[in-house]
Amino acid sequence: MSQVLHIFRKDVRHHWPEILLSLALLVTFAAEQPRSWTHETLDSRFLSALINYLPALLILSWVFLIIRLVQGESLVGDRLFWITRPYEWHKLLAAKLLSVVLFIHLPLFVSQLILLKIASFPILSSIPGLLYIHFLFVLTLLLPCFTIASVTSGIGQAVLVILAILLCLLGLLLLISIRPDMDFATDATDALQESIFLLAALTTIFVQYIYRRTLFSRLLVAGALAVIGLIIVLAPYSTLINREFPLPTQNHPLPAQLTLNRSLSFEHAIGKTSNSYGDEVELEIPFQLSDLTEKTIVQIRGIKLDVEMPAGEHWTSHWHGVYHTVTYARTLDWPSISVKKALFNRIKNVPVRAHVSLAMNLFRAGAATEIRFTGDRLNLAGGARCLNDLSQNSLHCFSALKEPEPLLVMANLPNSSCSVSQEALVEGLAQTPASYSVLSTDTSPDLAFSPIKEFGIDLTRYFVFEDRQIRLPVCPGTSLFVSKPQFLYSVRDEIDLGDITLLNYLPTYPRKIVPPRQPLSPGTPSYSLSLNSSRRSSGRGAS
Amino acid sequence: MRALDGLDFVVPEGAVQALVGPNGAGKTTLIKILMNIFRASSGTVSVLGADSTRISGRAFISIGYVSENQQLPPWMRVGAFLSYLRPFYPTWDLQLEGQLVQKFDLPLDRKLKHLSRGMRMKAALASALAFRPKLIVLDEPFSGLDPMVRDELGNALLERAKESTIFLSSHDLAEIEGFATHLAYLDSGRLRLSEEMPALIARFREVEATFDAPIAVPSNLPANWTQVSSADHTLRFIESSFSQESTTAAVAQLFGPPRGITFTPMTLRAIFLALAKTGRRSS
Repeated sequence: MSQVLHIFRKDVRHHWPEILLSLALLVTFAAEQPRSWTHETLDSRFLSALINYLPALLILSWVFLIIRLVQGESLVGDRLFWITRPYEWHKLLAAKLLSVVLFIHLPLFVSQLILLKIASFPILSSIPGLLYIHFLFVLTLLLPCFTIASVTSGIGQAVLVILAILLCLLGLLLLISIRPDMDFATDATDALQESIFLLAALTTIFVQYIYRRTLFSRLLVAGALAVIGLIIVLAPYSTLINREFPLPTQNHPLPAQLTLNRSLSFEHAIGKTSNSYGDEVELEIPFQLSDLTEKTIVQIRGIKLDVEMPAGEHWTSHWHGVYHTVTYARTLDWPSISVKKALFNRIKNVPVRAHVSLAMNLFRAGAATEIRFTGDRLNLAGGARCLNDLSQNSLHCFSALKEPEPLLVMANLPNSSCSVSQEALVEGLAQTPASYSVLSTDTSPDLAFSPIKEFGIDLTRYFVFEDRQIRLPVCPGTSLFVSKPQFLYSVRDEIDLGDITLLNYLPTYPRKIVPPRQPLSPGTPSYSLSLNSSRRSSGRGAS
Repeated sequence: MRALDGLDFVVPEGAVQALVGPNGAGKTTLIKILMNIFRASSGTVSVLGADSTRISGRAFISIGYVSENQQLPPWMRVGAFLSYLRPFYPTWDLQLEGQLVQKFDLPLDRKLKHLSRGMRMKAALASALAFRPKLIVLDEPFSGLDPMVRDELGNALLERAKESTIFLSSHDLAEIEGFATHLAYLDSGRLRLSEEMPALIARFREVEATFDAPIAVPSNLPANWTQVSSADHTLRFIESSFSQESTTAAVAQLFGPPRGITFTPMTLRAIFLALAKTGRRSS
C-alpha cells in the first residue's frame, strides 16, 4: 500500500495542473446546473457558449488527465527509468486507478450528491443508481482512455489514435447512411461488440502492466476494433430484425389492422414546395388503423419500403430505425420513410407496387392514476416533479437519475379554462385524447454528468387528419391519467400497398391534404377519459 | 537475423565484467535481455540465481541498472528524484547517497531535464548505487562523457566493486582496463572471448621477428596468429596464445631461426582493435 501511495503522491505533485483544471471545470459545471434548470440565460454570449461546451471540455480534461497519469510511467519503450526499478505492476496500476477514482470519480460523485440535494431529491436511494452511472463511465471513458494510454508513449500518439478511432466511427456513420438497417439493428450485436471491447481492453491493460508487450497489445487493440467493425458491417441485419420482430402468431397477433388509406394524399399544386433532406425525400404514407384494442400502445421501431417498378426493377429502403408511438383511439397514422431523391424523381409519377414492413413493440397501458392538476406543480410516482410552463404548453419536469419511463399521461384537453391556439381552431382536432408517452424497456439510469434529468411532458392532440400534433395547455383543474405501460411483445407487419404513386405521399409546404375534411369543433373534447375506461364521445370517425 | 547467437558465459560473483564489442555487436541487446527489458527468442539467462524473464518489480531491489539512453523523469529535480526512489529500496543508504551527491557534485534543486548529459548520467548512477545493489549493470556508462566525468564515474564504480558484481558494456577500453577483472568480447552477436583480464592481457602480444634473409608468408599460419605482415627481413603479427617458448618455436619452425624477436605487451584497446579487425575480415 505504501508504494501505491508513494506513486500516487508523486503523480499528484506532477499532474496537479491537469487535476486542478478538471476539478475547476467540474465545479463550474456543477455550479451552473441549478441555473440551467430554470433556463435562465447569461448576458454574456461568450460565457453562454462556454457553458454549453462545459461537458465536452470536462470530458477532454478527464481524457487528458487519464492519459497523462498512465503515461507518467509509460508502458511503451525500453528506455524508461522505472522499468528497472522495484515497481510492482499491480501497485503501479492501483496507484493510477486511485488517482482516477480520487480526482475524477469522487469529485463527480460528490457533485452529483450535492446536485441531488439542491434539487431536493433523495440522496441515499439514488446512490446505487449513481454507482451504476459511474460504472458506465468506467466502461465508456476510463477503460478506452486507459487502453489507449497504455499502448502509446506520449499524448501526441494518444491523440492520433483517438483521431484514428474517430475517423473509423465517421466511416461507420457513412456506412450507416448506405445501410440504415445497421443503425436500427446494432442493438442485436451490441452485447457481442461490448464483450469483445471489454475483453480486449482489459487484456491489453494487464498485458502492458505485467509484461509490457506493446506490439502484441497494439495488435490486440487493432484486431478487436477490426473484429467489431466486421461484426457491424457483416452482421445479417435483416435476419436479426426479422428474428427480433417476428411475424404475428395466434399468441402474438398484430395490434391492429393497418391498411393504406387511398383516399388521402398531399396536394401538389404550383407554389407548394416539398420536403427533402440532402439526397433524400421523406414520404408520409397514410395508414388506416382499425381494431386497435383499448389500452394498447404501439411503438413503431422500424420501417421498410420495398418498391417494384414496372420494368421489374426492385428497390428497398432497408430498415430505418424510428421511434413513433401510436396510442389507442387513433384511427390514422402517417409513418414517414426516406427515399433516394434520384429514384423518387425517376418514378414519382409512375404507379409502382409498394410493400411496407413495420417493426413494432407493443405495450399495454397499466391501471391509470388520476391526478387532478391544481396550482402549477405536479408530482409523479417515482419522485419526478413537474412545473407547469403555460408559455410553452408544457410541463417542465425533473427526476433523479432517469426520466420515468415507460410512462403514459392522458388528459381531457383542451380545457375550457385555457385558450387554444388559432391553428387548432382553424384545423380542428381529431377524436383522440391528449396524450404524452415515453416507451422504453430499459429502466437503468442514463449515462450523464448531472443526476438531475430534465424532461418535458407535452400533452398533444392530433389535428383532424392525425398527421400533426399540437401541444395543449394543461390548466388547473385538469385531470391527468397517468399509467405505466408494460411491454407485451414485438411483432412485424408486412403490408402490401398495391399500386401507388409515390408523389401523392410527398408532403408539401404549406401542407395540404386532399380531400379536405370538415374540422370538428375544438371547443370541447370529443374524447373523454375516465379512471377505469376510456370511451369515445360523439364525433365523426376518420375516413 | 539473430541479434545474439550461441552465447554461453558466467559472470563470477564479485567480478567487474566488461562487455566489449563493435557497434551493433549485440551488447545492449544482451544487457536488455539480462534486465528482462527484451525477451530472448530462445535460451536462458540467469541473473542472481533467477531466470531473467522473471526479473521485475522486487527483483530490482538488488539490481542497479544504468543505461546511456535511459529516460529519467525530466520534470523531477535531482533531489526529488533521489527522494522518490528512496522508499522503493529497503537497503537505501542515505549516507552513501550524500557521499555520491557530493562526489558527483549533483545540483539537487535542478530539474533532470536541465542537466547536461554527464550530470544526468551521474544522477542516474547515484540513484543506482545508493542502495548498495548486489549487481550493478551499466550499458555504455562512459559514452559521450568528458574525461573528468568518466574518471569520477570510474572511481565511484571502483569503490562499489568491493561489495557488488558489476557488469558493464563500454567502448571506453582505457577506462575498463583500469578496473575490469573480466572481459567478454562480443562480435556480430557471437561471443568471441570471455576471460579474466590478466589472462587476456597475458596471452596477447605484438610479435616482431627479424631474419637474416627476406621472408615470404606461407598460407598455413597458426590459428592464433592474426594481422600477419612481412616486410623484407621482418615479420609482424599478433599472437593471441602467447608463451615465449612456444611462440618463438613456432616462428622458427615456419621461417627459420630469427635473428631477433620482440614481444610487446598490448593495451586492451590494441587487443580490441585486433579482434575487431580479425572479426570484420572473417565475416
